[in-house]
Amino acid sequence: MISFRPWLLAIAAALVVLFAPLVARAGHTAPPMTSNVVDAAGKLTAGERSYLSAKIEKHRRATGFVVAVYLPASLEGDPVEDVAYQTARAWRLGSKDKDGKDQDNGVLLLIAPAERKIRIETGKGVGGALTDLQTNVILHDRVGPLLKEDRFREAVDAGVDGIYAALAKDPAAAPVKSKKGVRGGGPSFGVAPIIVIGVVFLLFFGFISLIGRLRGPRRGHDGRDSGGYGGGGGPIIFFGGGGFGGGGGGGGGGGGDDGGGPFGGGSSGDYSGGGDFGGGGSSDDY
Amino acid sequence: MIDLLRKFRAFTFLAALFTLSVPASTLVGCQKYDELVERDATVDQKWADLQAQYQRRSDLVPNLVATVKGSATHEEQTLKSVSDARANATSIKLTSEDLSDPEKMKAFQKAQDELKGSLSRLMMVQEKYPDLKANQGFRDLQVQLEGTENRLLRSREQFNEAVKLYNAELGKISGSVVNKATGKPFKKREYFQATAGSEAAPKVAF
Repeated sequence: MISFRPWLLAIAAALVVLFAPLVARAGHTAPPMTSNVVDAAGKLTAGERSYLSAKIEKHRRATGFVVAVYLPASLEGDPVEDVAYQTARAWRLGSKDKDGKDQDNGVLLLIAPAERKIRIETGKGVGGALTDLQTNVILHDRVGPLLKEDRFREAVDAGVDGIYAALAKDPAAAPVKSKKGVRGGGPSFGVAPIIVIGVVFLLFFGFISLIGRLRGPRRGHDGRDSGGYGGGGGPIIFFGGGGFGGGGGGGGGGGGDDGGGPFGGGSSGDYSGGGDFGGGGSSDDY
Repeated sequence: MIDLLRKFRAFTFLAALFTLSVPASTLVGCQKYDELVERDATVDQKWADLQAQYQRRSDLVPNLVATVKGSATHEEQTLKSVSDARANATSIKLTSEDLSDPEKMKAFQKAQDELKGSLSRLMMVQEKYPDLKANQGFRDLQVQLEGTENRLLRSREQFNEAVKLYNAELGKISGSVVNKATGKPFKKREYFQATAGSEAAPKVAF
């Protein structure tokens, strides 16, 4: 039992080292995106949340742009820019087109009631459709004044309306609408190389077992000590057969991985998982 | 005779194993090479993003200078230092190749940091001129500048992220073997160093 103790100590030390940075820098971590409106601060009633969520859904279908609202309970001491950026990235806010290509067309409206800070974070693909300046006007002129009066539902409503109004004015930037269930075509990409690998393996092992078979009779003609040498030829043939089976199995595994890859990211819904962010947008106090 | 046969059989076995390992290792090597190419391309793409943001900031400067000039009458020195810093920063152009050159990267960063510093001083000027502070055009430019600084920050982070992944892949044994075997087409890339005060966008209260 004593010999186990240093191990336990080492494991404990490793765990401490591993998790020390997490403990030291608590900061804000993005919650899972459970709805279009994530209200960790508890400023909206369930009815208001579902009303706003449905409204966003309607706009999303019309324009293709994906907007989400997040009200954190606290920024945990982080700058509002960092929290908005990290949350938007964690949610990968944005849609994918029918080929599974990221549209980067997500927009996050963040309201931090505890710190009285607001921010709109725009996805990389939003670009000129919703400029930093426009987001600032929305925050400063529409959202901020309502928040000063604690009218959260109306503030979010005005923010969402403002964002979609700006986006709708720029038809050139409207992305291709993502469609449910049209994300096929992906797996065929992964199959071709596996077939090639399979054929190569087949040829090689076939070649080896052929050598084994050709050499088999010669050994038999020798006559002497054939029992001992019969075993010698066996492993090659056996190796060939076994190896072939193994190769097939490996190919199958690879196929599963390749097929799964493109779908892993976008499985959470038909409009999330397709957005990257580059710090666009603006912040304000209220 | 039997000994010879045994040796011959061992030889064929090894030869078969060897011939087998050639396509297998070539296959693995090709995959490694492709991975390096892909990561290298990601670094280039992030670099292009970053340059676009630097360009964006640079493009804001003439408007900003013109707007400030209208209201702030005694700030020739501050305005001149901004224009000079901009000219200096835009004169240094880095190619994808230069991203492996620490000296050139340093010079580029230094010039950009100077431009950032002089812009921060320019934004501070508004405290002395109520006209400027109330000017809508100036406010708009300030929002755009803040936005650009924030984009630059994220762009730098993402560039460093891409460089880290690329350098790590290149540093692995498999990566360096493939690199040497193919005539060293891959070079380590340099990081963007965070300079003091460049973590947060310059904030000036209205």
